[in-house]
Amino acid sequence: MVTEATADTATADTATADTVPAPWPRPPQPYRSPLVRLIGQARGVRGRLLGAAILGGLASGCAVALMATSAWLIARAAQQPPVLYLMVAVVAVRTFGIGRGVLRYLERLVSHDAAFRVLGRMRERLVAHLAVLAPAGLPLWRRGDLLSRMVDDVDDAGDAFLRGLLPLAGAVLVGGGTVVLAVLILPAAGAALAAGLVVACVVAPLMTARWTARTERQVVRQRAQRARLVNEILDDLPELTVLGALDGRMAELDAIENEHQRVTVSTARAAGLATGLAVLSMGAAVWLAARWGVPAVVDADLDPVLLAVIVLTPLALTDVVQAVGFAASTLRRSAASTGRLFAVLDAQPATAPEPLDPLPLPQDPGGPVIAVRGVCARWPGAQRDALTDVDLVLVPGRRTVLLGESGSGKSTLLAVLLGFLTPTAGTITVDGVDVAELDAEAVRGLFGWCDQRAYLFDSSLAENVRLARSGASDQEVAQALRAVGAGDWLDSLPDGLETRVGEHGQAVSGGERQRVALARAVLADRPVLLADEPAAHLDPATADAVTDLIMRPSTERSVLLVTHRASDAVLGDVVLELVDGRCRPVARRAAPLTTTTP
Amino acid sequence: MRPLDPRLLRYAAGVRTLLVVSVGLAVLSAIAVITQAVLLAGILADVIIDGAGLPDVADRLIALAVVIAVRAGLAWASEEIAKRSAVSVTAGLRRDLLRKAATLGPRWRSGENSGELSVLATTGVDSLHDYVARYLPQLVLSVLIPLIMLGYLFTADLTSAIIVALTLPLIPLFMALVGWYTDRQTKAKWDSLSRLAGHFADVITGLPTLKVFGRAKAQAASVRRVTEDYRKTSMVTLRVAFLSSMVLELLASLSVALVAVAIGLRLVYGDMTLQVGLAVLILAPEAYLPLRQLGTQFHAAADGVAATAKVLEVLETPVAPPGTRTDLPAVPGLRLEGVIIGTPGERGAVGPLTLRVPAGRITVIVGRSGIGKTTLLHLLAGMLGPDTGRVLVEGAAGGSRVNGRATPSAGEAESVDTSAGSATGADSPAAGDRGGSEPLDCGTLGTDVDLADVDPGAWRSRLSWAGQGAALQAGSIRDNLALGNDGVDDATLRAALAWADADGFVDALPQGWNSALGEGGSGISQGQRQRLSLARALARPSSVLLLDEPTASLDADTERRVLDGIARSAAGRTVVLVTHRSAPMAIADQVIELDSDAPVTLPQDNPDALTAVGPW
Repeated sequence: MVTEATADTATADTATADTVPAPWPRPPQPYRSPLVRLIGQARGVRGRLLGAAILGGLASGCAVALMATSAWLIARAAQQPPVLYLMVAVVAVRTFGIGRGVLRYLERLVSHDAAFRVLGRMRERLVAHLAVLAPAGLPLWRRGDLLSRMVDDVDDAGDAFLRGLLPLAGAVLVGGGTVVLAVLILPAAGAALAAGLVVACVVAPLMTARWTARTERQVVRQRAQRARLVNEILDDLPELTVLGALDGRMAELDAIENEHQRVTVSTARAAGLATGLAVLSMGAAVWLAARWGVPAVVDADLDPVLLAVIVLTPLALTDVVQAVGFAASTLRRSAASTGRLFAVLDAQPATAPEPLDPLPLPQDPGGPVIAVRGVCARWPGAQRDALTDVDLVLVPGRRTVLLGESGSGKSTLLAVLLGFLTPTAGTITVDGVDVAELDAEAVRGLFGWCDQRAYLFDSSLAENVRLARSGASDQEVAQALRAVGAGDWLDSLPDGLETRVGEHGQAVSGGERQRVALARAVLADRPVLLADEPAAHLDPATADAVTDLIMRPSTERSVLLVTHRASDAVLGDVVLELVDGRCRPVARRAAPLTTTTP
Repeated sequence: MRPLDPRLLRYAAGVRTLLVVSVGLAVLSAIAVITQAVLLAGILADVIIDGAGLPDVADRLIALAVVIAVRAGLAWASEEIAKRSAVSVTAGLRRDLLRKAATLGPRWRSGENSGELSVLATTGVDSLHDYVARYLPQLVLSVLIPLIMLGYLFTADLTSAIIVALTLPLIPLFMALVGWYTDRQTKAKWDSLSRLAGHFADVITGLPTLKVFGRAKAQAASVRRVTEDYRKTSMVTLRVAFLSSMVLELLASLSVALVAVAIGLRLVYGDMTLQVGLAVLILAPEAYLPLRQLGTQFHAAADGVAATAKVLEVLETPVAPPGTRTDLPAVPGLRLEGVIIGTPGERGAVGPLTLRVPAGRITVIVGRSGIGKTTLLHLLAGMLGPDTGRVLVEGAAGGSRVNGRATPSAGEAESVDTSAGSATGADSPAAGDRGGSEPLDCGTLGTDVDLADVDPGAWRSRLSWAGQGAALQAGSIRDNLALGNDGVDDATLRAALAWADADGFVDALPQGWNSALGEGGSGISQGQRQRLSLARALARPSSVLLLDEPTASLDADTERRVLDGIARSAAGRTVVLVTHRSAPMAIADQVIELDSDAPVTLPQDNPDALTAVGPW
């Protein structure tokens, strides 16, 4: 029964890991297996884990001991001694019979408690580290699927303990204990049992793993091809049906499936062989115990009663062999997941280290003037600069429109302003003070922010707005919402501010979502508002409404609107255009007035 | 959780075969296990009681070796067979699932099912692999092995047989109880577990936002607090949940202990032979083993069972029988009568719609995104049936019948500059000046035919479709253009490329239209992909052209040229173009505006009434 239950899953994991750009730059450190590092995470929980391993070992040990004592009891009883001689064995048999269930119960409680604790710590460390990295320091930030994948990875890491390491530790305890018992009774039989266990629990799983690894590359490629083709077929179904081309694409799918089948046949054979080998080696241990035990009894080297013990006990190890097979496949899968988690924890932030002794933030009563001078910036791992020699000044009361095609570096400029990315050259100053001298958190406190697609947390509407200023009253939150034209929407919600939004809450339209983001900015009441394509995902009418809200004239606030809509240029006091990371002013009058909306 | 859905047997022949083979292998391996036990017990009893030596038991040792080898062989065979069938079963189900999705049409796939179907067809079906490869064979074993062992025990030793017979049924009973309890009680646990994971995911995804508002650093502590709370509450639940599995384990091992003690006591009084006693001791745990292993496989199976249920639900979704009528006019017109999709007023609902698409003319349908323009095209393509109302093909039984598929000749197609239609049917009027012409007369109007009664194949042969997705695939541009249009000649394709304003960029490629596209048409821009998709639609010898936002990714100049091409290619075709842009209205013979507030109703006798609606 030694098989790779999840060999295929494991291979898929490795594939995903390959597509993630390597975290950079990584301090040189000796490679340590992610599973070893995971155990390192368990500091403070090690006692519980050890306890769980021992309890688990004792629980499976009970099954083996039950067989051993029963064999002894029956063989001895057949010699018809006074019943009194058997009483200890009778009690032992019953105790072991009860012991397994009870010990397993305790083991489960202790191990789950420990796993919860380790996972809690892991999540906490991840979030703390990600809070530093976010969002520029993590290449996978732009791939939402990988981000949510990380959530599953943490659960997989928990599996590594519950279904991998702990059962393995228990199996080693029981297997070792049984071998010691066998060696004490008849050394040759003990050696045969040890060899049998090594073949069944080490050689056979390794054989499967080796064989799976050989076909892994092909299987991963086929799986990816297949997924892509399935998704294409589903996306294109109307066209394919009308064009009558569905059969052709299904034939392509069949070709991939046939190829996949051809490759997996060898994996199936390897798994079958490994299973057969495990059964054979454990059977051989029993057979050899009988083959060597019988002459030993004849030579009076072995008590005949113990012959029954040494021949029958290995039969009870089937469970242990199977548990090792399961644990091995779980660990293979978890190793990939855990590896990804540590890659995140090893990633270095994309920002320069913060000053140890930051200067106080200048407090100009007129509001901060933020000047960007000759700034160049490059995303980690990128081949070229995203921004080259950019100049920009944000002055209170002035509304700046920054035009640019996608990929021209607009979002990079915002990331630099928000301190998510440190410029490679040039300076950013707040009232003449270089931000490198200031506390990054304090500088960020100058900016309100409205993203392309505002993120709504799985919480109430009120909480989603209130995160901009903790401690704001419900009334202030509602006021902020009304100020951005979300009043009607708010009134239409049966639960009002307590309406749940986000993942599990009510569906929120794109326009409502952007208004929540604006309400956050209003509530936070920061002197500079940065808006990154706030209307990108909205229909023209809503887009205009949202843009107008952002560009409402104000004497004390400065606004930077980043947009690809040339029509927004008329709204700015200053209009700039980014082309290939270079910034140039656009004369207001000359701004293209062609509009994309009817 | 239902261990095996009998419907699966109907849809996956591989599962049937696997079950039959598994039954055979299970019986054989049960016989091998019993033989091994009897041989071992015999050898031990002779040595322990009668003092037999190696020569006395030599032949039985040889037989034992053979049995062990046979058991290994059976284990190999069942493992390999199970894995191989799992691969073919999943492949078959995936195929059936996609075919069914094609039959069910776009509406079924939209809404809640979108995305879900893609997940189901990939990872969902994959999760059936372990269910088929591991759980099903184990299920067979756990039904058969205990029965066979019990049968042997009854012939060997009645007392032990009774102990096993009394406790064995309790195990599936407790499993059912555990399952029931799991369903009921631990549903709450899983809910809170997913809430926990949800909270974590939420925090991670929203970190940039939290960071801007200075709330990021506090999150680590909040995550810790939530996890700690979760640990405390779930440990309380687990203390009870694990109790039932403890009872399960207890039953299995305690009854073996009872059997052993009972045998021991009878042996002391000479009521039983040692050989029988040992054989029973070896076999009693074997009776419980498959059931206990089934429990440990539960984890791998749970995903598979859930996926099975979903797959079967899709496969069993009823489909209305397709229509059979093929007597369609060469250039059909279409009419919607009170068509409603979904529940009016709810999200995604469309209608009520009453409108007419006149034959041989260009109808442009405008409306904001999400109003149901694409759904309307699906209706017209017959991929979607209305919940209320009818979609009618006008004048189907009229004078003009199709005498086979309308095929453009190369000559006609080349004369694009005189706007000759590539799809001019045998009896459609000569192409010429379209401006202000009357709707095409399709001969004497006969009875209209409900689209639901029309043979889908016959209807599709009339249709061309260019959707929002370009539906291009890896291969040369020419192959993509000729997709589903076998035997089309180069001249027709060239003409279509020119209409779609795609000839310029295609010719500019180093290898022209022999240039290869990547997966999903990668290698060219979105706008170029869309124009190729349009060219493909125009090249088809079809008389109904359904175009979904054909100019969505194009700049104004290209858009104008493309629209011009569509107009020129449209002679003798019924064209429906949906868009949220204003430019396409320039080529329209009729404009229909979809608006959720003002349901479109159109007097049947005045099809052009709606041209007046809207600011144009």
